[in-house]
Amino acid sequence: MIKSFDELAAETKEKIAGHDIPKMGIIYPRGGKCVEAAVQAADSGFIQPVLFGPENEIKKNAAAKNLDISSFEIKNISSPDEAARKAIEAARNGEVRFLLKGSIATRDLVEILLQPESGFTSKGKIISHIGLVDSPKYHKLMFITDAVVNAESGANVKIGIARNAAALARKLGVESPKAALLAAVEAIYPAVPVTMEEAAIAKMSDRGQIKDVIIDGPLSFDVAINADVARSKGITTSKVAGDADIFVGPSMETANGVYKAMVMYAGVEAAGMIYGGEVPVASTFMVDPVANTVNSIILGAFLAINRELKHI
Amino acid sequence: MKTMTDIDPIISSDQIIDTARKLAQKGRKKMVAVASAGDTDVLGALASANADGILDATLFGDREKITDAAQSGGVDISAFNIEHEIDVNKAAYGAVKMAAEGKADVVMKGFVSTSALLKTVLSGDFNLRTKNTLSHTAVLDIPGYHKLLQMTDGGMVVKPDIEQKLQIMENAVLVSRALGLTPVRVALSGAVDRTYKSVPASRSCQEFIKRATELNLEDVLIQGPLTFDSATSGEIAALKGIEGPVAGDTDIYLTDTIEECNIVAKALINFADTVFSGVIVGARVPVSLVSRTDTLKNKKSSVSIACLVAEYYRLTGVAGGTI
Repeated sequence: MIKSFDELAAETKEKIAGHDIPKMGIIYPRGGKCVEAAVQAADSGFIQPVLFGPENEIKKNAAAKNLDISSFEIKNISSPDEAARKAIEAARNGEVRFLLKGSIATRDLVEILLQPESGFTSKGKIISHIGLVDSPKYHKLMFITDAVVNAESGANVKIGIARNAAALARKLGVESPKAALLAAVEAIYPAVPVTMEEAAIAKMSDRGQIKDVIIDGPLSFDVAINADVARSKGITTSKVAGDADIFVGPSMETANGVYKAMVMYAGVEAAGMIYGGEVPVASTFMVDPVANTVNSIILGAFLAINRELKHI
Repeated sequence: MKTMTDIDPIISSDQIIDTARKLAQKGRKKMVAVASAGDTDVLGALASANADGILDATLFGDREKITDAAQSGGVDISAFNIEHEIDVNKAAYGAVKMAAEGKADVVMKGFVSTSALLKTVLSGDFNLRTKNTLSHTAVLDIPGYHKLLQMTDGGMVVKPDIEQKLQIMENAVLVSRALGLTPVRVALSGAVDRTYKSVPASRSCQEFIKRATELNLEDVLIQGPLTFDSATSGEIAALKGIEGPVAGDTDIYLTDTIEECNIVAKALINFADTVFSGVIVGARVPVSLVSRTDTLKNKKSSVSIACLVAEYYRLTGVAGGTI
């Protein structure tokens, strides 16, 4: 099981050895953090970048920052929409193995990805953002979801969000991922709709109706992360309390706030991924340092090389 | 506009405690009426604050249970008066009555349920109810942020409608005033930084700002939606091209749901060494409550902030709902 970003990098490197270095498409880079991270990851042998964006601007900005992108393939494209469409097409054709968000607001990219004509998703499929956080104060990696994709989420969407995160967690070696549906309280109150919805999903999980992930809720955040607090609040039979891998926000705003609070103030390492679509899209926020974007790229490379090894 | 005129803006939890102590030294020490005081954590917080010269307390409840609770925690409560009352609800009633009669400045929750205590506070027997709903405001001292950040409401109103959200904001602004802040900068929380048709929470911000503007709140600046990073980092806001008087300099982060506030605050408390203090506002007296999991500093700063809010009410004659 991978427990840190260092381990992720080491294992990815080991797997890539003897195989083609995965190609990564960048959706609308204009210079800046995404190019900087791509240069670092490419120099370390994790990826070969293909840039879908305005060539002149990219070259000018890279030169201004002393970034050597001479070996990068650039497809000259002037708009974010077209860049996304072309990058997704390239991913579908197998020309690139995964994607990275470029110089574009994350929600703006999500809006493009959610359009049916983008080819990124199909009806009924749930895509979601997963923030992967390594905190020195928690005993395992935390999967915080969904910070930016599903603005309105009923029970069905929440289950999809949990399952996407579980699928990613399993790829990282978490054998039976545990998902906490977060709330302000751990008691179930008929007058508090969030607790009723989360309790119903937990019941579905108890009865084996939801495969591949153990779900419990409602759980307050401290109960989800701390077994002592869970016991003191009378939560003694939960398989998830105190040991959650996955933290599903009751709203997109909640997951977004938690991820940002952790990245800004909690001294954590992190990565971000839009998951469940045609290919994984590594995606960090403005607030993430370059290192988190590099982590996200390595995670994308890890998924790509795993997929390839499986097909051999 | 009425504000705390004789204090500097408070930007840390240490300053909250210091300022409450200085007020007491100036002869404005606050009296805390404790509803059902047989609770070791509450007594410990009060005894420590009393030893620092911050406050006095009157303990309502079963004398035997109170002394047992004090002894079991090694807490010295000899400085406090005990009003003996065996029945929990009557003890709560006694504490609230003392505040309603102006003999106590703060009501504090002891070994009684929050809902039972607040029901008593809002009871028609007393004149403590205001036009506003009661709400909880968490005052967070986050290492790395340049001032205190209030988050509200993570404890009282489950899914506030726009009227309730306006009241929750007014309540929090009173706490900011008690902290000596002017102007008060309010950020409306969001997962995005502008209005998207596909994001309902972002759409509701425009209507909120329109309604809040109609309230003509003096020296209150409101902006939103703002993500947590844009609200608390000027550098990030600038990188995103976000301008405005609140971005990067937020005093109050006003959330849409109880869950969002509660969970984000707990992330900061559990992972980012944040000192938390909290107070319930919206009545004519502040209601203080501490939790078992709070550290002693959290507890002390919680009762201190209640004292500051009480002082602000005394100075200005305003209370919840009358900014």
